[in-house]
Amino acid sequence: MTAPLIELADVRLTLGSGNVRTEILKGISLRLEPGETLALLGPSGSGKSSLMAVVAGLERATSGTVRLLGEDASSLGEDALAKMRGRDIGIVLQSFQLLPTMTAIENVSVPLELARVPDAKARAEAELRSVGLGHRLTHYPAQLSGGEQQRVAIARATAPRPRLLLADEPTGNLDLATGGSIIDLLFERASAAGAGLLVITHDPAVAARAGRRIEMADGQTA
Amino acid sequence: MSEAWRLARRDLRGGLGELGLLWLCLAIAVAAIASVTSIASSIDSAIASNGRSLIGGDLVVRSAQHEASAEELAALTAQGLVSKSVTLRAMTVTPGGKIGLAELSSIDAAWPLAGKLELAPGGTRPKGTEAAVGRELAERLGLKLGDAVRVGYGTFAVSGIIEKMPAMSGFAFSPPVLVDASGLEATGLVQPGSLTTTSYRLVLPPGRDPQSVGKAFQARFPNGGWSVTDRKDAGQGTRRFVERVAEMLLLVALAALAIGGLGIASAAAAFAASRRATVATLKLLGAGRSALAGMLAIEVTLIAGLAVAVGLAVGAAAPSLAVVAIGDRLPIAPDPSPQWAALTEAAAFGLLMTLGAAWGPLAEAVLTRPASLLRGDVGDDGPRRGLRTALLVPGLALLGASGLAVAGAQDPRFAASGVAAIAGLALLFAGVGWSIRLAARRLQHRGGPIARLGVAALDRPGAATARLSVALGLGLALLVTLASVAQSLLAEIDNDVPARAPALFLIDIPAAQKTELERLAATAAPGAEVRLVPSLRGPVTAVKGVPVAELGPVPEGAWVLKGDRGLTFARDLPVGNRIVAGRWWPADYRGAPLISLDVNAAKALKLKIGDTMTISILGRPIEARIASLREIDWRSMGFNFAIIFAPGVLEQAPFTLMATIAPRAGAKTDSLEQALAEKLPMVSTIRVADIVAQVRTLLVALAGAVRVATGVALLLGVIVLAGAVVATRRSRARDLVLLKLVGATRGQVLATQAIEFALLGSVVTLVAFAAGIVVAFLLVGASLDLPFRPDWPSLVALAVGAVGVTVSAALLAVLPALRAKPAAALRSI
Repeated sequence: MTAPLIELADVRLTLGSGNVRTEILKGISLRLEPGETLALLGPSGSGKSSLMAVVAGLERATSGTVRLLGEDASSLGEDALAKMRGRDIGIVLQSFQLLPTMTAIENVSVPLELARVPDAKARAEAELRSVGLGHRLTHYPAQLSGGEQQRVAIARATAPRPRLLLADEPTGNLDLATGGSIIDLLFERASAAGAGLLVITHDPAVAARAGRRIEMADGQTA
Repeated sequence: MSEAWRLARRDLRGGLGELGLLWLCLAIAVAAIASVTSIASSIDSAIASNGRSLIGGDLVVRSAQHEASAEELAALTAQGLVSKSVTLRAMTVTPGGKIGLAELSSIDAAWPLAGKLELAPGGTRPKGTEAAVGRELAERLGLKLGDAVRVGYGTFAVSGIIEKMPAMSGFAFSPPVLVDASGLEATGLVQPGSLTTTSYRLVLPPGRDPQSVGKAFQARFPNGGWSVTDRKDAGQGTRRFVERVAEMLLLVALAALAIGGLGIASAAAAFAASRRATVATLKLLGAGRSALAGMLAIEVTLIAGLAVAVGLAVGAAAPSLAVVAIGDRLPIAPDPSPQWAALTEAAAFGLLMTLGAAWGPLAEAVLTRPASLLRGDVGDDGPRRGLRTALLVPGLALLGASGLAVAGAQDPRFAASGVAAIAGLALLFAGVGWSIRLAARRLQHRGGPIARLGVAALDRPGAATARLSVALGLGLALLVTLASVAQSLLAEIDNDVPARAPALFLIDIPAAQKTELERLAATAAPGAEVRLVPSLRGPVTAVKGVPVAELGPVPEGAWVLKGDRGLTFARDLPVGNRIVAGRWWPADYRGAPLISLDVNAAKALKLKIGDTMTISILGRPIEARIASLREIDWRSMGFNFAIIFAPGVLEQAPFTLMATIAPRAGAKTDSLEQALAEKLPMVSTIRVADIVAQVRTLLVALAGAVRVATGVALLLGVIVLAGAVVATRRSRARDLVLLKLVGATRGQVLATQAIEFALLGSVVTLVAFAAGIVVAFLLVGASLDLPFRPDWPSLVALAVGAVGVTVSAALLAVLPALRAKPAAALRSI
């Protein structure tokens, strides 16, 4: 039996120090099975992005259990978590976050090169062609439109063939039409890779595409 | 202005954190300049205000080898109270056989007319068969009060140990021994031809100007060979030396200021960028350009003022520290009070540099268009209009600072060359910076992601590569230059001088004792090479018939006109000399007086073959025609004379001989020195090793001072580097977080930064190393005419260390970005 991709049990996250401490997540429990798509809905400040930071191994839970790809995240060091991300977790963010000094193909090949994948450039090129950017391989982020940048980000996330894809408001910086095509692409690439997908959004239309939806409010799931 | 002030006051509530780098760079640079100029000024002012005590009167007139005639003495006593002393070098010998060279002077009851003879407790002024000896000599010979010491043919009881006293001669390189007139006679050292100097010190009535009294005396007795030192000229050798050292250190401090200027420019740019939105908003609300310019200027001036104040406070305290550090090595302790002129000059340098470095960014910020708020691009590089003023004012400010450096220098040519060299090096390293960017642009797609990111960072928008290249390269090039010059000089002193120089110089050898000397040398130092030359002293009193006093300021290089000169006569051209104009006289020449002159002195005085010089020998003027000009190899370490007479003139005057003794390889001269002290008490022995040791100590101290000054320049370079890294921390943190996001480990993330700074540091260090070596080679080879022998291992270690420091400082500065928590950083991106 394959382990869940994400398994959270009573996860709490408190940020800040001294008197200024805020409890962001208040006992979240959640599972995502392989191949499953899940949308996390909620208004701004509900704790969606913090939850994503926890499941991406970017933030350590204050308490509770976090198991990622069957492993206890609390037992993994920072470098082990980074390697896990490079190999098995693809991340797409709202504001694209491409490396500005690298071309599109270089941006996509970075995680492959870091993981010492052979033919990293060839795989990156194939990935870019599959997201419709075969004609933009050597363009820098500043030379691409917002939609194109997000396609590069998706290609970068899916290139290592991850088991888990995380997307945080992937259409937040895009117009409606472009956003729609990006969501299509994201679900299509996740499905093609057989990866589980966790999408964070406040857009019900995006959430409707997922197999399962969870609402968040004030650090708790409804 | 009130509107600008009001706006500034409100804007200040947001803090001035961006100007921290400006504060630090300016404070350090001003402190360096203020310290150098204040210490030099404090020494100068102490000597100037204690001139009377230093020379022992208002005025000293001196002459070599002869005393004042009755008429000359009457002219002196008519001016005021007179004290006479006779000074010569002499060997002191203890009953136990210890020997030491001393500056022996006779004093009269009136001496000193100003200042004090300070003796160790229990000591008294010497009378009859007593002598007071300098502490250094007493310690070397183990002399205590009451001990016997032989000087020349006389034996004396030590009556006092001298702690401090007015100078007896212009430059004493041996410790003093004082006796009274009868004691001097008892030494038997004053013989016709002895190299004595007779000094007459005067105290003038209030209101009389010593300089004009001295000039009038020289004009009235032009043939007496009188040199004059008044209280204003006191300690001139020390003052000149201090001025020269201070000028060199000031240039290094100005280089530090130039490096600091880059930090100031970075800080001003960051400050301007942070205020563009405020400026645009205030313009939207109706604020005028002048009010906004005033607002920004007030804020920057406030921080610059604080920095200058701190720098000046350090400079004001520097003389007091100098008193503790070097006070006892100077003829008089530096004046510990603040040196206001020096501090004003340092403040002017600091403010001009701030104006030059900050004007451009501030002017651009003032020109921010309110429309940019609507497009949301106020944080971009900003408008490029108004560049004419953005270049004009900084250009004028830098020109002003350069002008101040040149105009304020004692040697404007040296200062101008130094400023030009700094500007040239800055341009070179700016070029290196741009080349690095170009190379990075071409290479940034090669290699893996870590190398690509490291290389690309050198050419990213806003990268301070060119600025950092100048900041790091300038200080390092200076350090390499000065270190290799010092190392070459030390190599010359440590290796060549001992190999080439004779072991002993003997002076004051009575001509009649020549044979005895040769016999002693043959017995006590068998196989030693002994060279003997006749020796007299006398000043040049006229050139082409014009008295020296009427020639005006002495031209650079015409040192033969200053004071008494060593003179000799020779039948054959001395070893190490080469005729470059005219002809050497025939060996049997017996005609009218002829001289052969050093070619450089001739050039400085615009003299040619056939021109005349008048030289006073024992008070008698001798006009001689220049028969030849010689190039002299001063490094040959033998007896080198700028003026050599043809045979037939000086033989008539009483003269002594000088000798060099070069023992066989490895042989010692101790027994010869003992024998000379015993058998030829008239002869003074100078050990070359002692002089070399003195020069070496001085050079090592100088090298230390230069290292401290260049260290400040290097420190500022590192601060500018750290400042530039801090300024880009946000974008660095973003890149690093993104790398972590796609699977980079901490080591890989760190490597991207290390690659960037190692590349920058290595290239800049390599160029600085090469530039420093080339400049030092030119200085040592062309200017000093010495072999270029830097200490390569220490220079290579310096270069490797420089790269290490660059990378370490940059990584320290980037540490917060490396430690940034991905989640937190992503939230703020």
